[in-house]
Amino acid sequence: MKLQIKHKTKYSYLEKVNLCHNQVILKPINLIGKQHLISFEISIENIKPSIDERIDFFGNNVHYFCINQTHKELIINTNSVVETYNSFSYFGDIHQIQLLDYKNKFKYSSESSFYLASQFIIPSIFIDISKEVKEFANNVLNTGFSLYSNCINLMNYIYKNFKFESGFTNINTPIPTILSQKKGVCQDFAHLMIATLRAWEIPARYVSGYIETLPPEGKEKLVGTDASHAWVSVFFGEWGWLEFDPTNNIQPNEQHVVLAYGRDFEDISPVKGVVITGSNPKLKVSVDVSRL
Amino acid sequence: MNLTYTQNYNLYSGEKDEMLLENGMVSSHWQNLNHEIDKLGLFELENRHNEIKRLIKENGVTYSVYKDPNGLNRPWQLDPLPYLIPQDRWQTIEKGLIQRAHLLDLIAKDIYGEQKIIKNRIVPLELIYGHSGFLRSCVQMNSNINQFLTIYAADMALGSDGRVWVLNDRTQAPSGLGYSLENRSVMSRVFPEWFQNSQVRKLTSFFKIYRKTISALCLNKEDPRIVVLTPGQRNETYFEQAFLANYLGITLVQGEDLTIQNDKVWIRSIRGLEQVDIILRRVDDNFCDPLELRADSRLGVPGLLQAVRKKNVIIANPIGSSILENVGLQGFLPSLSKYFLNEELISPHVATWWCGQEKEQTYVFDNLNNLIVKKIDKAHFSHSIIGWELSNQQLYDLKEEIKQNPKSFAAQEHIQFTTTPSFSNCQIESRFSVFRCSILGTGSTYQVMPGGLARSAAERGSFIISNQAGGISKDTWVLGMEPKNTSEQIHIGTDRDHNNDFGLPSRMAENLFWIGRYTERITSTARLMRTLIASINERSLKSSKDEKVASQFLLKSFTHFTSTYPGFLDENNKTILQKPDKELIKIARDLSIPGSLPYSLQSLFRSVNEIRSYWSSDIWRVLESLEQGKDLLNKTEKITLAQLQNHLDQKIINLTAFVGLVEEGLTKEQGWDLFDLGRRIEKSLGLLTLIRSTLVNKASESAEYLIMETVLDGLELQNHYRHKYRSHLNIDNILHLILLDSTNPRSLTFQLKKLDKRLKYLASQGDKNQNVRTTRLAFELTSSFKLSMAENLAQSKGFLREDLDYILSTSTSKLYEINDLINQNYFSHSHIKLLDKPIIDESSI
Repeated sequence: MKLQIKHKTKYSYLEKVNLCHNQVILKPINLIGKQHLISFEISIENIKPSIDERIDFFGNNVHYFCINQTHKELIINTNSVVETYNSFSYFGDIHQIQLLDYKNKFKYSSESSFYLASQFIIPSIFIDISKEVKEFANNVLNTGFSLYSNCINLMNYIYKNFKFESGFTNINTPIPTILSQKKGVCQDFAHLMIATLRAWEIPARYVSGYIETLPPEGKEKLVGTDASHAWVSVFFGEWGWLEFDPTNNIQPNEQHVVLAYGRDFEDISPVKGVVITGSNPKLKVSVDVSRL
Repeated sequence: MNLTYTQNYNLYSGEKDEMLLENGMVSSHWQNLNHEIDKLGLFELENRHNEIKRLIKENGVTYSVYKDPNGLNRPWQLDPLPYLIPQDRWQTIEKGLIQRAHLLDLIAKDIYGEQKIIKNRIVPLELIYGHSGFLRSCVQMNSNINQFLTIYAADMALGSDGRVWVLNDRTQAPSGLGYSLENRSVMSRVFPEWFQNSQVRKLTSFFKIYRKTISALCLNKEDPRIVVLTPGQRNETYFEQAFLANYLGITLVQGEDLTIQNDKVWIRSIRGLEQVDIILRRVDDNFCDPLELRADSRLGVPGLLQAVRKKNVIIANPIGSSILENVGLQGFLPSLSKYFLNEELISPHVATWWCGQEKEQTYVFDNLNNLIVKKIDKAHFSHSIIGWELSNQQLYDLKEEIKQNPKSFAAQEHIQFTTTPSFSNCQIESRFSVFRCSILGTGSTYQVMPGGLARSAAERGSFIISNQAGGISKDTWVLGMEPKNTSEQIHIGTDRDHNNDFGLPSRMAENLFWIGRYTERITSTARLMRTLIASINERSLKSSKDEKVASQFLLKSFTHFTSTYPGFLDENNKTILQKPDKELIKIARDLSIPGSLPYSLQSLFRSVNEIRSYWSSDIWRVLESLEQGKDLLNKTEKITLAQLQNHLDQKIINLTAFVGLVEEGLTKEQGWDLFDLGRRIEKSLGLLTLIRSTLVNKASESAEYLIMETVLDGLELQNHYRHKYRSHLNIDNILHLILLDSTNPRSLTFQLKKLDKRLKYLASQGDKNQNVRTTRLAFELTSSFKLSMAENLAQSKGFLREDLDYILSTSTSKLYEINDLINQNYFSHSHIKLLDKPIIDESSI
């Protein structure tokens, strides 16, 4: 499936700003057999700073730019065209991995893919393995089932028991609050699912990306209504990494576009910046994902 | 040998001592010094100790303690008895440290490079990846670097087995060099005979190599711009940072002084932006760049990592070095030494067990009551937990805590250390000591400083030794022959053999400007207050109506002058003008009132500390006595007007001395003009306010006479007037003398002339276009007074001198405009704000 993503991030300031530094992670990565980046453009409206591109520690595409001229708004536009593929074809005996012996296998495996994956067990800034998380993991995960079934169950559990509610949480809301309030947004659910898996020493990554949304039946799709999305990627040994979207209770497929992988939101937040100003900037984001 | 003091030597029982051997003999390397101590006697030693304290106080040597509300700028403590290291032991230490520095260098390069030690399973992945010092954004960033650690320090102690043990590694921004130098400089002044009669290795040549090494870090520039990046005056070792910067002739900067543009680092100076090539960093890793590292940091420079990545700046030590301070890593050093060097460690390291491994965790749990437990990445901040001091319940709780997160804990064995003589409470007793050695990576090889910073425990028997816990420092003497003949002369600021044609950094300029303003503000407030007190004292109960009117005019004028409203203008307080003592004393001692003396003094000291590296020891001495007076004012007990008067006299003398020393000591490059500019603006504003609030509204002739008398007094112009006019006071002459007389150094015209001159100099420094407006304003100001005649200004319509009022009020607003323009043009302020990160909240398909 060929998807085009137009992503616009706009900061408006009350007063003139002379200097800002920004780092964005908005260029989809290439994933063999899953997605292929056909084209990508990034531009800043009305300003032409030099934009530096590099690959970060996790293999993501990072752009950095600095604006040192007077401006009152900062508008970052990206335009990506991505071909996505159906990657469910190799599923055969995925149930072979039992939760219990997986843990052990993990510990003693000398394969490099295994120990590199083990970095995604370690707690990270947004994903602290608290008592609450451990308790939650012990309640939801079940050693009697395979790793795959456990992931499906966990995703299902979050989807059914947690309410999607914008505005209730912010990026700093800790996981125990999500657990007790039972609501949040996709980034919270992704963090919760990752934390639960890590509590049982299963490597899990945070995925930032997009999802193609469809309008309610009989209605036109509105422009700019999409947003960035986040979900979870879990290590399955020889099978590699499988993805789960607890917000929608599905396994990502052709409608999901991956931007970047990291330990949590902090590693790969799509846009961040530091400005030298006295006032608080206003932020507006619009995303359009459309089929070509 | 039978020595007097060793007979009374207060040994802490059960521990081995470095000086007094178990057989009652004095160890050979202590014999010489013991002889000296006995020659001196305890009484004289105490005298010298007091001399040390005095010097340290005068030199402003401080160390800030974080949790103590009075801990900021606490005086540094120095034991008169040094820590001695004999020649043969030193040779082993030196070898051990060079090996260790080399090993750490290889480890750091590997962690931020290929990570072979992880891939080859020498070190578990979690130990590195789970440590907060492993900065993912720095991986592969310093790939071109020759030596990772330019300066590295190790804390060491002599074990009772005679071996020197390494306790800790300090790799990101080790402190100690400056304090070592200061300790040595004080010791050699207080005990010159000890140095003459002992063979103590000198420190100065190490610092020469240090300075050269830093310059050489930048390969492609002959005379690179170097800065020391400090977290600022609230940091515990701020004194040392300023001291070292001054000693090495390097600019001391804070994050806000720097900016990144075009992937390069620039310093904001009054000449504009100037490129920085090398940063000696005293800011911790995580705080260096709010864009890529800790976003809440206000100590760093946004975009700094990008500049490093583009190889446009060199930072020593590189950001990311704190991974080497990982306590857990220390347990793996023996195997890492085998892996990298195929050698055994020369200096033994305290056995360390990282709890992230099952076997080690079991050992730790089984032996917890004999071990010291630390968090692997918070070794700096959290206290070590001493196993044998815990109750059974506490041991149980600790185990539970470790179980929750075993990977973040490590335990270390307890080594029996030796004690060493320490002078305390007029006697010599034994204390546990550790010493910190600094090692310099000179590019191809390593240099160990032949000395260091020793510290002994705050209490006898205690082996918790840290400055935060009140430890006492000791000069460290490495005994033995100098490799070459070198002289020990420690002169601060004389090492400027480098081309320093750089612009004055904006923040320094700003602080100098404000120091100028505050100095003048405090002096003139004190003078005026002194005069008012004198006139109150003279006032009799049966004062005339005119006297009352004059006094009210003057008191109200004082409130205007100090901007301490409502003050004497308070309509609701009818008695305040009759009984002014209370309000005057309040302005003299209430810190919470902006405009009060202590408030201005506090602001002055804040600015003085901000640019600490500027001040000579003479200036510190004056500042020290100025500060002592501050305490007297802040106390709550009663103070009489007479006491206050004496106090004000003292303040005025101190401030005048300060101005004199600054005038004498600050060069143009160092910003003398900024300091003077601040003084002139403040003085001008004060004169304008004072005249406006006393002489614009006309009082009766005899009241006005009294007012003029006091005004002259408050400005210290009585003699001038008498000398010049030899007549009764009259308003024309008064206005001429105070406002228009260009030969009177206290007149407004005189101030404005100086102001004009300073502004012209500043304009020659920066962007010319920026300064058109300021020079124009200054011209307008000076010419408006040049064109005025005192007789005309003195004319009045009814009770109002309109022309006088007009010229004073327009001049005031012009001065404020100049002030604002200086701010804008030379002291660019940066308030860092983080952009909100977009929330990721896609809902459904």
